[in-house]
Amino acid sequence: MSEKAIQFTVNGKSIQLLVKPNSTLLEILRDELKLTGTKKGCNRGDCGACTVLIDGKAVNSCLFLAVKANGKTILTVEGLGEPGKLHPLQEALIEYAGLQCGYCTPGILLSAKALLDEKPSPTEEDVRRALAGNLCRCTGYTQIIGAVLSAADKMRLK
Amino acid sequence: MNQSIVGKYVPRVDALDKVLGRAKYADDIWFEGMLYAKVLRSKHPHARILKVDTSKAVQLEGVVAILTARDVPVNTFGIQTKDQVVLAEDRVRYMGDPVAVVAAETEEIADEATELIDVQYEILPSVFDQREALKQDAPKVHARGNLAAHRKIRKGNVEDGFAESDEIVEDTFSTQKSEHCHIEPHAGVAVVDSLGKVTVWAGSSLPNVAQAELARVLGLPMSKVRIVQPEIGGNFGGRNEISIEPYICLIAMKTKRPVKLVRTREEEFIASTIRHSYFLRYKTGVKKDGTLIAREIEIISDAGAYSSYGESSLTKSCILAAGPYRIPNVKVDGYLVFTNNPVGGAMRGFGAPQVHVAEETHMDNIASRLSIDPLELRVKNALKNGDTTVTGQVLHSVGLTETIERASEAFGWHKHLGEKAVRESKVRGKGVSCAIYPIGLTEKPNPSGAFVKCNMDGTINVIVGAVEVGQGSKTALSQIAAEEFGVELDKVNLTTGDTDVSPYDFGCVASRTTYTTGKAIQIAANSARSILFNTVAQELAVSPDALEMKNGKICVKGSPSKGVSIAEAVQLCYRRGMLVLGSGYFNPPNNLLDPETGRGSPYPSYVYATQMAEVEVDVECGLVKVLRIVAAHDTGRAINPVLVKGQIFGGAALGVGEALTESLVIEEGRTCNPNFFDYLITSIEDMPDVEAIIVEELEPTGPLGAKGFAEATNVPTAAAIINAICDATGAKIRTLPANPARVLQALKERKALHENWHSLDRV
Repeated sequence: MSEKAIQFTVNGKSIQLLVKPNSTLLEILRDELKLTGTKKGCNRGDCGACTVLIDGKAVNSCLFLAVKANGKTILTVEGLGEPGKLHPLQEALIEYAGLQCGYCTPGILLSAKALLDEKPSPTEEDVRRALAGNLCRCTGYTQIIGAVLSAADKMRLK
Repeated sequence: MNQSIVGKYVPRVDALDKVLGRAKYADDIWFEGMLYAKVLRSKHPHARILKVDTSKAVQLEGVVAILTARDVPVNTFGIQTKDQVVLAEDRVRYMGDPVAVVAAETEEIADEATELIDVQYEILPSVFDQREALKQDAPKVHARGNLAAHRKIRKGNVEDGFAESDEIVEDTFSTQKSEHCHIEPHAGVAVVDSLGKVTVWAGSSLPNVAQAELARVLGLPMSKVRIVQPEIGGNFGGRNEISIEPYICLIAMKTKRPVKLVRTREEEFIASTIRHSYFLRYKTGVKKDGTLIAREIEIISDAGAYSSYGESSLTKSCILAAGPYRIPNVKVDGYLVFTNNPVGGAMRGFGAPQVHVAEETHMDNIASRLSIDPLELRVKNALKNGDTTVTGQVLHSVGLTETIERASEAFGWHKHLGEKAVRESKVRGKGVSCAIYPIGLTEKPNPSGAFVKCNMDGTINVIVGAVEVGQGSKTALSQIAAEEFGVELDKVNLTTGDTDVSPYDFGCVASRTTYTTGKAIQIAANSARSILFNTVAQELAVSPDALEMKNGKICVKGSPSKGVSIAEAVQLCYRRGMLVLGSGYFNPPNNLLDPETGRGSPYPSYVYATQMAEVEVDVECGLVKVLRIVAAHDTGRAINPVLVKGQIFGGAALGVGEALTESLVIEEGRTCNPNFFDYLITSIEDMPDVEAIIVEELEPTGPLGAKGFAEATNVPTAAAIINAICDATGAKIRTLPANPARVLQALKERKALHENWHSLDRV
């Protein structure tokens, strides 16, 4: 299969790559760029562990062909914050114990970020709708909901 | 001792790496020149293997090695009975049975090569229903017959009890097969060094147990097998046995190259162990005032194709089957039966959810027969301190009644729920369920060890074999260690799950880690502390008994100024030529049950719970929505209350799933819904509001009074929901899950019964 050259921005960095036409964005992020924060849970768009932001929208990267990422801006969990400069959502998940095994956490963070970017004052219903595609088997979601609502409050005050 | 760190919320010690995306799970580990492995599995539920021809597959470019049964040095494994094969030799017994493994330069090539392996089968008759499998003429899954185990409990005399009773109530129930669904699939990487030592990074809840099992399979001494725990993406019992480890190790040994294997989600559903499905029969004799007199129970568990944890989970079922009640006459018979279904193994609750949903819906049926409030029936019979269980064990620290009272108050059990008919087709109801759950392994020794070293700067390293699977054990165990040394949490560094360095631990199973490993840390800390105390006592010319550790210092009790810092004390020891090292272990006190009567004390202690649910049932389409749950759990001392509540929320979520949606659809041995689209776990939109209530009935044998409780959290949920459906509509659900079709069916039966009753009435 002939490879295609693509250019895209990942976490603020411009990247040029040759990709196979059947490679998914998830595979490129993990295998080529070694951005392993994005997780593979089902590889068919059911669980949301691979959620990243593409031009600000939350997308299952396992269903998104890498060639289609050409020219796009992508945010993964690695670009969300760093020690000492955490995103309010990251701080809130820690404060509210909104994570356990952590495998779904990157996807939850990015789906929640897409929500707050679009709707700075979400209701609990909004949070539930925005995270409906992110499965978590550990937490029962309760502390995640608390964390997202609290992060929204903090971000509005800033 | 100052109790400043235990009993309050501190953030998880592993949280930062996890929110940054920096936590490394097995699939995040890469090595140069790494191969990728894929497993070929049986296409038939029961067949003889006539031939495995790998010649075509070997020729595919990029294929490096292929394993079949003859490449496995010791081709058996199993946590109790070693009746499972690493790779099938002459027979496959279910559709997930592994036949061959391919290793190739890429995952794609490995996958393609598995399809080129030609396996010739002679199809054998199969059996898929555990009751059918017990019949004389049923196909035999194993040469020894299909009855894998029969466990018995005998207390008092049920026949006398029934004769004494005013009412006899009988029920049957059946439960589904369900899957752990940890979001991280089984994955691992193996590397062999130049001396032949194998190192494996693969999530396991019990690395020490896995190390022994793996060494045996590989034909290597245990010292040549090292299992290192990467971050683990959930367990729930799904990682309680070796799975992919033998394959990647054998290929690494054969090719001298690093090997990775990651299961697909489909494989997770088809080939990992699952929760056993049960058929249950309950018969209870009761006095008019609600006093339980006698209970007879029969349990038939579907083991699937191999033993795995079948017998021990059945034993736990038998011990818990009569519920958390005082009943003088009890008879339980539990049967574990082989079929050609996927293998039943350990899953959160380990035999308790199945018996509780049957027993607690049966309790509501008894209450309804006697026209007693279901809660009152439970209060009347609830186990209390000094009562004996069905095995004759005398109980202590029983927090059941308090969980009932606290749940009832928070839920408003005695208040009206408001209008029952909310909208035309939607009706609301409430339900309650209680639960009892033990701590630690059933009947068997299951020690945990701990090493402690005190550093020159006053920081503490703690090394344990227990692992973090997401439940928060690293945080809770660090808190216990910090408490023991009277230091801040950041002074403690806890290392978990590296079999080269950590002491033995049976693992993060059976709700035992905080209780058992926590206690081991206390014992190890005590041994290190005595070195420090003896030395400081000499220095200060006081008795060691006069000293205490507080705020990072060792000082004379009551005189905080008279003392030295821990750093100074460690340095003082060093100047005298001493190192401050501690070690210790703890084994939960228990003993074997008598095989005929089931008499004995199989566990050190138990936890108790009461959950209440309010549901809304749409009687037109059969859809049930859980509106809220109140969950009161006796957890012993809550080392970290926020993480304790996290367990309760997570357990309730699993319980909601198993009550309403989750079920592996297996037809003629084939798993028909091996994905998250067709197998529905609770999503954030389905998750009800849960109020978690912690009841701290302190456990004298546990660290700082802690118990193990995490598995108890999903045990009562399904019954509370099923009872609420019945309260709302009168529909008696007796098969899990209560999906819309079953709810509609139950409503139809209820209606027919009602009409029949009315027509009889008219006669």
